[in-house]
Amino acid sequence: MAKGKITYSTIRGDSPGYYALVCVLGALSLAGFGSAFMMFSQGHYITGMTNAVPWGLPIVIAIYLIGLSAGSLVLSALSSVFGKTEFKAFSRMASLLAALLMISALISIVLDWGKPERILVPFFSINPRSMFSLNGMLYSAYITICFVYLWAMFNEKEKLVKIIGFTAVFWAVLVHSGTGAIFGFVGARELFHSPLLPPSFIAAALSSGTALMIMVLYFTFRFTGRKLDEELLRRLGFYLAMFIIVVAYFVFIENITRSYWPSNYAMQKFLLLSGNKYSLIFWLGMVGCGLVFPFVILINPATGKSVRWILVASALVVTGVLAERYTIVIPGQVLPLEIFPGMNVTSDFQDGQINDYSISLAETLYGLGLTSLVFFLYVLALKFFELMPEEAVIASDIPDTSGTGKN
Amino acid sequence: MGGKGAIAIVVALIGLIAAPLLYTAAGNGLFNKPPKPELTLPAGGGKCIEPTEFMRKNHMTLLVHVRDDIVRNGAHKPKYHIEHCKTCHTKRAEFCDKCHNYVGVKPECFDCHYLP
Amino acid sequence: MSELDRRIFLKLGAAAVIGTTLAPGITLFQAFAQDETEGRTSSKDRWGMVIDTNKCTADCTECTAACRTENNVPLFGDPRYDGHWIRKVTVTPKTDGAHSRSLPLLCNHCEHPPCQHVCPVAATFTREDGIVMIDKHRCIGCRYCMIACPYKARTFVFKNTEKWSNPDVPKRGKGVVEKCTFCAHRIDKGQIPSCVEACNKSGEKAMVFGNLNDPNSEIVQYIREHAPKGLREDLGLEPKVFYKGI
Ligand code: SF4
Ligand code: SF4
Repeated sequence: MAKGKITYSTIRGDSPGYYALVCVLGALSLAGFGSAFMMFSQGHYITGMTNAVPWGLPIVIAIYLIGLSAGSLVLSALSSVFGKTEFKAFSRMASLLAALLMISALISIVLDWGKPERILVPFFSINPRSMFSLNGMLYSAYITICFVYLWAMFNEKEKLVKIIGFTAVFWAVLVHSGTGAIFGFVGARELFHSPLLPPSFIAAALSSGTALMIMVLYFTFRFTGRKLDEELLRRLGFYLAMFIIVVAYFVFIENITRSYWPSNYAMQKFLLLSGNKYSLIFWLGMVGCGLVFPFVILINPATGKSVRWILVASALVVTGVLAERYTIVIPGQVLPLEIFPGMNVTSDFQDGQINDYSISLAETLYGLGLTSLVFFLYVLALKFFELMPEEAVIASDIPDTSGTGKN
Repeated sequence: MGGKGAIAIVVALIGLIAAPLLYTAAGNGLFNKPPKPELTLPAGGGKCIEPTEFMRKNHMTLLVHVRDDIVRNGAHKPKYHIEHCKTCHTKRAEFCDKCHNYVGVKPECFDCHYLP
Repeated sequence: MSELDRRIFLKLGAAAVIGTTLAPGITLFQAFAQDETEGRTSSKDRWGMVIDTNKCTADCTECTAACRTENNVPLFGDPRYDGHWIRKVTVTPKTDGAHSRSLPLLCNHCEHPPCQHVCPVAATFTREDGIVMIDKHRCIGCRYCMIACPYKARTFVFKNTEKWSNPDVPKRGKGVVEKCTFCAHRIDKGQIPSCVEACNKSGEKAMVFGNLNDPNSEIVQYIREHAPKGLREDLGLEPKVFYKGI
């Protein structure tokens, strides 16, 4: 490949497989919107949410997608900002994906409102003290930045790409800190109230974003039959392992700090040792799928070099981070509020008892639909815009960090 | 870039947006105008606090201002409170609803507020 | 169109837009100028409540029942979705199982309400007289406030309700958050909240309601004498509902 010159082109997109994919994803997104409409017309009782657990799967999905988005955007800026030119090939795809993920996350948040028809209200009445309100601005600016970035890349404006790349990275960090702050600033709930949430959100965003990118890259290139240098995936896998360490560090610090202090014993026991679904999701989902298994796979020389195993690790991380989001949002609400410290409380409004939250069918469709929407739009966009490089290979004049060639 | 594809998408989107309108229009018969609502003046021959023309145009703005004033400042029966309207226009079905139906607006107010 | 033409055109357009948007506003402004300004809430008042848990009997539900009728608080027959503006809770010290108390729990109308701080559209607001209220016309139903309230004082309307038990107060349209208003509609008429009224009527007289800014009011005297405490004062929200005897 000639140095620095990458040709992008649209995909043909006329194979039956492509149409089938579009149809399946489209149908899933439609189902998602359908269940959103049910929520809107029937009321939220068709979801698993209750007065005790007012935030359910839609919020989990929203912050999950936001995380994926922030991660993808940072990856797409790797080439322009951090000088990793070998990743330039997919920066268009990554930043488009970032925009789509964020759009879908916003839709997920808005359709989860009790009154989504009041979508214009937040534009006219703003509460600068509310993290939601601020985040709304951050998110919409973020989408704009993504598209400007894309535009600059399409027009090969190198200088602009660099500047916007910097802005994008900065903004992605801001967006994700803000998302963490939605939870971290709430002093009422012990499990939310933590200054570590914003940075650990960023770390989780990076790890899940990288993992998603690995999968998307692999499958897109595979299905289009274009050439993808496996070394590229291996390097991303290396980054993924690094990000996992950071996430693990945050998870460890947060839980060890909480578990140390006696007043939190009950809470930590519930979260870590009780053997209920929340602790299962914590250990198996968040720690197992999100951190331990993929890390072992990635650093083990026998598996870490094989693309297949890297894909498995990525899939694990993508699931594990979803479990992490769940663990952030749900157990904090399931645990009863301490209104009367040192007392046993009973009432007919479930005070003092552990609440239950189970995901309903409508919510499952909702989450599935909004996630499919991202890929639906992505697959369509590949056909109409010149996003994909003809081939993604690492130019030979860039030193190979991990020392191996193709297998 | 697929120019044709883009046009197709735009057309599809416009179609999607216009679909409900077309659906309603077709349901009503495209050019059948419904008859104008006939309002009977309330018995007693009182006068509205503002000229009819003004009220017809602006009652919703007045009510919204009053609403905010009551909710936010606890105003007690301000001048344009709907309670005052009720003294003459006693039946919602015979007054409010007739025009609302004619112009096809569905104010949310009465979902929660009691007005017989 | 030349550049100059276009500029003139734009200017005219802008003038037209401004004219059409402002003109009705000006007429309305004149209409409102005639409106009297008295009868609004004022910061001279600061409504608060004291609950004497020694007097509150365990199986009495007068206050909650009165609140349901007064404010049309929805009851769907499913404990997960029922609305609660005021609820009875039984607290038992973990160290002393015999010494349990029953008390009503309602919105504390915090001086620094986190529910208001987090509301993205400023639908939750504090009136001049310290009552924290929700503008249900503006609430988008995001439920962030329910996450932020440490007293679980807010409930979400999961379904529409059909009937008014009290036509003066709205019934519920789904999708917004609701909570105790200290019966603001009654306070504006010079009455006391209906739970307090019911409690007084039943003879328990466990609730005292009044103006915290008025040094001669019953409630201020009571607070001076008995020094009741707010719930979870360590959170620093300065609740305006005080409890004696817990
Ligand atoms: S008790 Fe809860 S709802 Fe009431 S003002 Fe305080 S934070 Fe808000
Ligand atoms: S649910 Fe309504 S009142 Fe509560 S934070 Fe959201 S907009 Fe504000």
